[in-house]
Amino acid sequence: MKKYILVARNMTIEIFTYRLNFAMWRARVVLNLLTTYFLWSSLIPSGRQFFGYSSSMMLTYILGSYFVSSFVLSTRSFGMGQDIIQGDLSNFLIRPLNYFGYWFAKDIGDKLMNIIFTICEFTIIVLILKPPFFLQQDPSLIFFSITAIFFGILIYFLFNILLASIGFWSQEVWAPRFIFAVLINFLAGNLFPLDILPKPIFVVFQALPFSYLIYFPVKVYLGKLGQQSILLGLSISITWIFILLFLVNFVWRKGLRDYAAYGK
Amino acid sequence: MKHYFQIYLLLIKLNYRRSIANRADLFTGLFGSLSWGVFSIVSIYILSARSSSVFGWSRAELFILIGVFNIMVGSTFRMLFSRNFENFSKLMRYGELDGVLLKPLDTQFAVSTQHISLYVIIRAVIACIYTYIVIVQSNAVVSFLSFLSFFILAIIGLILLYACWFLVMTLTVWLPDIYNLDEILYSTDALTRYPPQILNAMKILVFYLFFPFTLVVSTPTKALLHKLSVLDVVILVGFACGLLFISRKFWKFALRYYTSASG
Repeated sequence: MKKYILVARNMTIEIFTYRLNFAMWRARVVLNLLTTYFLWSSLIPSGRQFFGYSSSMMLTYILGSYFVSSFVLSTRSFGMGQDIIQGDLSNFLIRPLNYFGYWFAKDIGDKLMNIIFTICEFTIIVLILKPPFFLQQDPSLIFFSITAIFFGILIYFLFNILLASIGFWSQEVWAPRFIFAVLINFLAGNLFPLDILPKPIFVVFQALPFSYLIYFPVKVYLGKLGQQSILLGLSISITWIFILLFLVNFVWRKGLRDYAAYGK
Repeated sequence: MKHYFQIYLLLIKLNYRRSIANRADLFTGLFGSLSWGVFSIVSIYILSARSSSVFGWSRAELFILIGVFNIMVGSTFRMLFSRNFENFSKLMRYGELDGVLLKPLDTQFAVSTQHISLYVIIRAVIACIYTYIVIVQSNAVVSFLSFLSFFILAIIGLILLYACWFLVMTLTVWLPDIYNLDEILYSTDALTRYPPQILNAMKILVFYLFFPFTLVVSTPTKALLHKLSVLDVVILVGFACGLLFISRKFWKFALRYYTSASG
């Protein structure tokens, strides 16, 4: 365990080494948040509803999704694909280290930094804009929300391994990642709550794993789901984690058989 | 001028061959680009679903605006310039600009035109068809004159966007370790798909810095919709010429500080 803590710690140090790049990344996140925030705030005048969302509810959702996405979507595991393509994976295969554990620890380090910055940015935004933000008081909902975030982190990490595995058979790992990032923005509910979509589309989205990355944890936090819906959502998340684990296991084993350590 | 035109034709041929050689890259790039286009349209449909007008623009006008955004920014700008700007930090960090400086070519031309993402043409065609359909559905009358003014203003709008990007990316001469400066600009580009009035909704003064971005697509669209005023044209042309001039001067100035890879 100690070595993984060290990996996570090294990740935070690495971020501070390239602090300007990290600052640029955060600036981009904040710019996107503010654009979405102001767009919704001007679209829903106070006292009116938009697909059942009042202005304050929608803005709380937008801020909540910004907060949750910094937990769930911040990642460094895209580097796995490069490891495979450049043959650097060989270095890890001979070490007494779990390769996925190594990248998960890196992700944790990255998430930690993102969370710290998100809290700082969030405080500044709240002080300047004084947005309506709903503070959940119910400890059980906070617990379920944290559990949903944890499941979201696992789902996203497993997806990242699957995407990186493309590197076993193709040099093109960047483009699928880009497509995935585009789809995630939409399907995970990063820009708007998914339940404003037409019901048949929303039902399909609920069956997919993406809505459990952002939409579901935020809705749980906001207390907009009943206990049955929460348990159902958590069950679907766990089911997807098992499905993805099976897929990762299958694809990774097959990939390692074809792995030729190019460049090494 | 003729010399540059011939070089550009040659670059198109080279990029075409590169696209054919990397077919997987071509298909994934195309799919990513189209997904982004669809996503931008769907979000406008959702945003305007319960309002007859947003920022003084009717729903139909917003659909035309997003169509023009996809033609101009999503397709043309991405095809001609985006990859080149993404390459800037690499040029500076690894000293690859040395090779460009040695060529008997204008450096700004050389660094801005090397990569052409030809596959984006397909998105441009789809965006044109979409825009045509929404124009017909909204019963907007597009005369030859309004189309001509749209076309000219679209070129000026692209020049303005190019100048903004070039101005910012020139900073990589001093900051070669920043490899994600372009990501900020991609986010700022998103503002071009909304009317300029969106800035009034953003209650933070610093957002007015992005005002030129909001002119890029909205002004040519106004020409299509017969909503164009002389002031709109003057502002767009003024910003485009001014920022292009400044970006060129800034580039020339920055080159004096270029220290190659080991700097």
